[in-house]
Amino acid sequence: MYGKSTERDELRGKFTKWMEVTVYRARLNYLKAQRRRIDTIPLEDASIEKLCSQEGEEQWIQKMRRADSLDFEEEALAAAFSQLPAMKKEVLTMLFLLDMTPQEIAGELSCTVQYVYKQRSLALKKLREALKGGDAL
Amino acid sequence: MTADTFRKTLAEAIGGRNEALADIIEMYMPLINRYSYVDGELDEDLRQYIFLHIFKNLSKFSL
Repeated sequence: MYGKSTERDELRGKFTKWMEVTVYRARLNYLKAQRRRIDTIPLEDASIEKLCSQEGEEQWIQKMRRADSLDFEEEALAAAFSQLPAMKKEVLTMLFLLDMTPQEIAGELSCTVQYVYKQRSLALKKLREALKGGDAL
Repeated sequence: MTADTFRKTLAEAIGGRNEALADIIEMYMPLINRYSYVDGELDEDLRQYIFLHIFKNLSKFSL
């Protein structure tokens, strides 16, 4: 009786963990998509002076250049991350986004703690290599 | 909800029964709401997006 109950409680725990990961990923995807949207204002809200001023245009160009450079870094990391094998992505997400310990991850993925460390190490190495400019993935 | 009921409800939700799905969602609403806040405000669009993400991926959960 006790054994069955423990087993079923494990199911609830497993599902709760799954929900946390799923909800967190959904939030990340949503916020990432939001950031990619271009900031716009209705035309009627923009003043004629601002639209026609040379200074305003230059400031806008500078702003867009800064944004492009930031986006490029973020996109490079996102692209490198998306190229990782599924297990490595899973391990990094749980380690760095969900703040799970290697022991918890090993339990979640039904593997050894050493395997988690190995996956983390390989994944970070691949990300570093990809960001250095090489296409190691 | 007892462990038995939970297992049954979850199995039905994964099987596509709407009432069971609603029960599961209701149970996890505090978690969903917690992740639906952006800059201190509840973002309804984000919450809807999270719901859709759960519905889309629930069948991948193995009992």
